[in-house]
Amino acid sequence: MGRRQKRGQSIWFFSLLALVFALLFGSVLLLIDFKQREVIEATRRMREEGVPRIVGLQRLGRNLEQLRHEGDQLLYDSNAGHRQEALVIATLLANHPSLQEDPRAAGLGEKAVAFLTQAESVLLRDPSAAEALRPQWAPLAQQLSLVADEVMTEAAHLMSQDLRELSDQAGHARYQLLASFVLVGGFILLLLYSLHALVFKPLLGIHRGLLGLNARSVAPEAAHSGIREIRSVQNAMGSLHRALMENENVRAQLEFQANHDTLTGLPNRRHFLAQAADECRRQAAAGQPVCVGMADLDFFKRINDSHGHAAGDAVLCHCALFLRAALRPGDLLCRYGGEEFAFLIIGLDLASGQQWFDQLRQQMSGQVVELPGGLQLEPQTLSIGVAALGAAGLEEALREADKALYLAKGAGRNRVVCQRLEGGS
Amino acid sequence: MQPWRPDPGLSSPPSGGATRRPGSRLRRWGRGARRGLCLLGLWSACTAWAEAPVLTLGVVEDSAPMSYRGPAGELLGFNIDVARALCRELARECEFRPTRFDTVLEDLRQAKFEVAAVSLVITPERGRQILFSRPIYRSMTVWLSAAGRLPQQPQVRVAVVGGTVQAALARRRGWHVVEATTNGGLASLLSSGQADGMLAPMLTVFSQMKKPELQTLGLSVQPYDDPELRKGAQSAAFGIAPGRHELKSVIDAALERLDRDGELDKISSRYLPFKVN
Repeated sequence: MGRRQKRGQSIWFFSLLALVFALLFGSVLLLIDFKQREVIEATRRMREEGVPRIVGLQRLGRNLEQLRHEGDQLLYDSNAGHRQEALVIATLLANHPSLQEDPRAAGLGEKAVAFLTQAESVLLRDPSAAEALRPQWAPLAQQLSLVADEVMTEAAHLMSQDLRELSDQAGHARYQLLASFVLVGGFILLLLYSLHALVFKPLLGIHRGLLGLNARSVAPEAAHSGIREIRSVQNAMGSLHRALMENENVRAQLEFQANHDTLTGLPNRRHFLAQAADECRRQAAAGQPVCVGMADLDFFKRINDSHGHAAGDAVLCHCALFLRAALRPGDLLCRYGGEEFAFLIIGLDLASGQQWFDQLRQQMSGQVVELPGGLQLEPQTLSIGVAALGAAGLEEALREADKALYLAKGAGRNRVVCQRLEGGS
Repeated sequence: MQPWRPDPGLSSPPSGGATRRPGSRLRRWGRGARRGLCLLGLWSACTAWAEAPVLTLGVVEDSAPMSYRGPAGELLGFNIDVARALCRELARECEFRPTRFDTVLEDLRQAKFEVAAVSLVITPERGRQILFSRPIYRSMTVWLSAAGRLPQQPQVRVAVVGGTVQAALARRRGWHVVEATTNGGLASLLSSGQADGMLAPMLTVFSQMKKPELQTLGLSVQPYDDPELRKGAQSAAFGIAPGRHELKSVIDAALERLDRDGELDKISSRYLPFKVN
């Protein structure tokens, strides 16, 4: 049980999920950072190594062309000063580090300068020797041009290669970034789904259950949740429902005790009057006749005096049971006070009511009352006063019925006296 | 013309006339604030333009083709154009101050200028006295003399410019040194017969060989290879005042951009016979 609860604790589940997410997200960030560093490093390499190398090759190419140009100048210019200047430039060029660093250019440059130095010494002695020297220079000049082209092409190739590498790096970084986003996005979706399934959905169920929760409804059904906190709330909701039901029972008991006579279980006078007033309004609205009756047990004091109050109570209970059983659906009855009972009879006018009460009186007078000790008492009789519910209202009708009851008592008891129809039956 | 008076609406409510709407004062304040900010921005920009920091540079005035005076007295040359491009790159105003090869290091140390726009060959000894920028071009030492003569020969008088690495080398080797203060002085020493050859940087030799008085001497050019010169002597750079490391950083970055963008090549084509970078 404890193991199950521990396993079901949301703190563990979501902590694990958060840890996995943090590790995943951290790894993705590291990967992105790594790729970005690679791109930055490739860019730096290109800027600090590639570009200078490319520029260096371009300069070398131009210098080789310049060397060829100076050679042409020396062999085609008749001005000795110009030739000497060309030789100086060619000598400086061929020995400059930019040429000396490249094996192809270094050897070729030295060869060219050696030829040009020798040619100049020849030309100083015999300027007409230029004609003969030019064909010897031509292959060297062509070779210089070819190496210059080769170097320039290499520069272009290097640039293209660097750009391709950079583009590849950027492309890989982009795909990895997209893949990382998809991965993180998928994990976030999984996280949201888990939250929905494990937390939000059960919480919504609890919300619905709480909205419909009352003492008269059945306990709300809650789907089993794997999260301990959710289960705690569901259990609390069940406890709340039980508490509501218990409170309702207590309230109903208190209400019953407040509205009913403790001895007979019949409605008390206050409750009867409230119920009767409502019923009278309904019947008046429906145009139905209503009559009221006041009944009093004859010679009840004698029972108390002769057999004790317990016997009196037993008689009252017996009478109450009998009278309640005799009522038609919708009719009202209460213990009005002492041994006096009040009736509200629905749907009967005064004459019909008198007949109904008279039947009641007769049935009552045939009932033998048996006390708890087995002693049987003589049948009890009732004196009843009846009145119709008039425009004056319920209380006036009850007063009239009470007057009629008084008349029935005065006329010798065990009879029904109607408000207007004097005499008993 | 009526004298200007302040708008009463700004300081106190109007005593009569049309009723102002409640938001009008706030709006006018907002407009005023915006105008104020605009003026402040313009003022700042003008101030920044007017007060562009000056970069002081020492230059040698008779060292063609690196730096020299033109026919109208204007400063010209490879180093001058590089210095101007550098100032543009740094958004600073160039102020050139004259110097000489034999005093340039001392001038830098005494903060007579911040940068020496002089082709200084990078050597460890100089590196202990000043800072160097990143290399601007690669140089080499050339021996110019009649064919068959070498500086180490006992009877040969070697012309050098004072303060250069060539002068220092010649003195250390114990050669017969004849010192000039400027590049122009080297040609005079040779043409007047006071020296038998000159030991100088390649571009100086190239420049001097244009002079007719030297062309008639039948001199020959040969690179002078010496292990001591090879120790970093292949590169020439600008000098930077000692301790100004932050200035060196920005100058190096600017020179790197100028080199990468081809600006140095363009300047080189203007003054030099080939690509010396």
